[in-house]
Amino acid sequence: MNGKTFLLVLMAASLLSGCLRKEILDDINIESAVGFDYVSPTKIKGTVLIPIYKKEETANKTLTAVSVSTKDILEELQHKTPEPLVNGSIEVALYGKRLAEHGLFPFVDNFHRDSSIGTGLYLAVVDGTAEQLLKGHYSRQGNGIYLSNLLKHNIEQRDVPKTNLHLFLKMYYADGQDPFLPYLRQVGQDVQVEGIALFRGDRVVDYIERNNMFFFKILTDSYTEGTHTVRLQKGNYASVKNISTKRTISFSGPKTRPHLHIHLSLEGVIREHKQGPFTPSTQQAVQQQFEKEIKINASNLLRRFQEQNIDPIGLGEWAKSQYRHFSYRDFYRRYRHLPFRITADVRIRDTGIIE
Amino acid sequence: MASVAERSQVSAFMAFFIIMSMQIGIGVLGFQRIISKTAGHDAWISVLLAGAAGHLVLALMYWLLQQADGDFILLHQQLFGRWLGNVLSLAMAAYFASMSLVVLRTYIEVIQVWMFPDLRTWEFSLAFLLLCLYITLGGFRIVVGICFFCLIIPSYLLFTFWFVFDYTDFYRLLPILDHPLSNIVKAAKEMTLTMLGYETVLFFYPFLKSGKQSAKWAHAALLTTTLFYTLLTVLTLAYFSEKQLQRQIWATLTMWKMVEMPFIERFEYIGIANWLFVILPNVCLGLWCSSRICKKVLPVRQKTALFLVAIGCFLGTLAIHDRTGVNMINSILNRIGFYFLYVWLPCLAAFTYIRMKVRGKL
Repeated sequence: MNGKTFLLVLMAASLLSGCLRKEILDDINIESAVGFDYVSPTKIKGTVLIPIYKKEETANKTLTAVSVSTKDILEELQHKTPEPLVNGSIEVALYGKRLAEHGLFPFVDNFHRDSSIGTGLYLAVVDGTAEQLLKGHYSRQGNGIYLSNLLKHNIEQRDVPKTNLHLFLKMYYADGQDPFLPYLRQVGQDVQVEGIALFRGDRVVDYIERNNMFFFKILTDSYTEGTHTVRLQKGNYASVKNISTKRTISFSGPKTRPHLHIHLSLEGVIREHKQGPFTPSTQQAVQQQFEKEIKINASNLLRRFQEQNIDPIGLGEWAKSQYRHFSYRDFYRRYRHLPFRITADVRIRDTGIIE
Repeated sequence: MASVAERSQVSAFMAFFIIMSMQIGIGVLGFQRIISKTAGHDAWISVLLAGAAGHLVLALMYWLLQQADGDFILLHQQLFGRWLGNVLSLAMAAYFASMSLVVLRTYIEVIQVWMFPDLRTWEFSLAFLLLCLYITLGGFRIVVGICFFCLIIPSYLLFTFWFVFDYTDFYRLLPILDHPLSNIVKAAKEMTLTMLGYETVLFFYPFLKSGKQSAKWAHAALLTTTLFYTLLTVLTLAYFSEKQLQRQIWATLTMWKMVEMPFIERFEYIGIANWLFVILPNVCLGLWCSSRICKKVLPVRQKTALFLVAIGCFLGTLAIHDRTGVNMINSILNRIGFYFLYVWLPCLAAFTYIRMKVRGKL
């Protein structure tokens, strides 16, 4: 065979392999968010949000269907759209409160299995129904982008702990940790982060309130940027913006009777101070007060987890890394009465551009 | 020295590129799950162990090659007689051909699962094998050129693992050596398929200009690959929780799902497409080795042998239909590779040694 015929065959072969299904952006409906709600023990209702790009703004279109599985809902919805629905760029998946309390994993598996879905997908639990939240109209960019931006900036700069599909699955599959997800609520024309939904297995069992989220984040995430206001004496207060956090979890004592010690060290800057100049003595007072608040609130949270018998911090995983031939079963049998000590160390680095 | 004209030879340091590009293949995309099944978070030790074993075997190969004047086929003939020796050499030809087959079929499966579910196996297989034939027909020097470029071009993919760092908890690797040694060794055995590739040196050795000096390059290649695999394993173990990892068929690809860039939503598509460069030298060199043995042993021209082997590979890819089939050929090749490297080669060395002693006495 000479070179020319060879080239011909090669070209023919490469042209042949081009005969695959194409997905041209203008001819498909791209889902940007999905929501699932509880209907009956065997059925769920799925809502799909499709952005419709117009000149000035993005309109939202929602489609709903009731069926037994997430994939089935998608098939059902295909009947309702002139163009095929594709799920490659879903940014947010929402789960109604009732569904989340009944167990949510069967409706996450689909995302896990589908190769076209990124693991950076945000999951969240919604107060009320996901359908209603998705049907609102929030911003000119479209609801999908709005929701993902809402979660993104709250994770990066505020007090929502890092979360996405990958982390949810990581926590879910880990023997020594229970997952958590942000908890959203529709308030008038906006959506707000209402707290954190805590899971036992794949069922929501508790919700962390908004004022506890800062403490929850420093307990679960090693890096945070939240702001916290410290109340001082005589109606004075100071806002501290957290720059860096270091969390050290260690266990002492034998494997059969472990003793937990969590040390949280924070470095922050003063954002706001109500009365007078910020003197070294006030700095001392702020640091001490802040340390005290961390200790009290973090201890309360941890006690709450113990009562619920859930482990969103992943203490089991930490214990496993510190004891040889570790048994999760033995650890969680004693989890409720695990003695612990929380210490904090706060350092104010700067006071802004004034003293 | 085996008779190979100097114009078709390559420098000794090219052994580095040939071996490394041959080793890094399809196994990298998903070996972590298999080794962590038995060795858990100590799997990275298994990788190091497999690397160490590889160095021993490679040293053994070089010793064997010295004994037979650089010709492995001649060594087979010397030890087992002309007839049986040739049969053994042909078995090796089949081994290299099946290596090409396994790599190609597994890659096609990855494309089918991750990118184009409606891609038919024969379409890709035909196009790819034609490309490989085109390269391999050009001779050994062209194949080496491909090895060189196909190692350099996709090397940028290393940087993409930077994105994963945000989600790693390295405490998951502690405590070190929490698993029994037997499990760690067993996992090292499972690493064979991923490590495979350096045994090609047995056949391309005569094509190196100063064969003896290539040993250090071959060892350097093996060391680099081992370190890369270890790094990747450590990263994977820190990125996934243990049970989560055990559900990922292609852990490396799943890690790419986290890569986010403003201009690309799904990085794994780029990664998989680039992986074509990684497997190209695998298939080409496999075909080349196989046809080279045929040429030396049978009365056929290398070109004819090459066509036959390629057709065989093509038919082979068609015969495997699903995940179970792909899994099976992978574990079969893993086992054959293991017995070849760690059982057959030491046996050969022992035979050669005994033969030398006996002859010395006579």
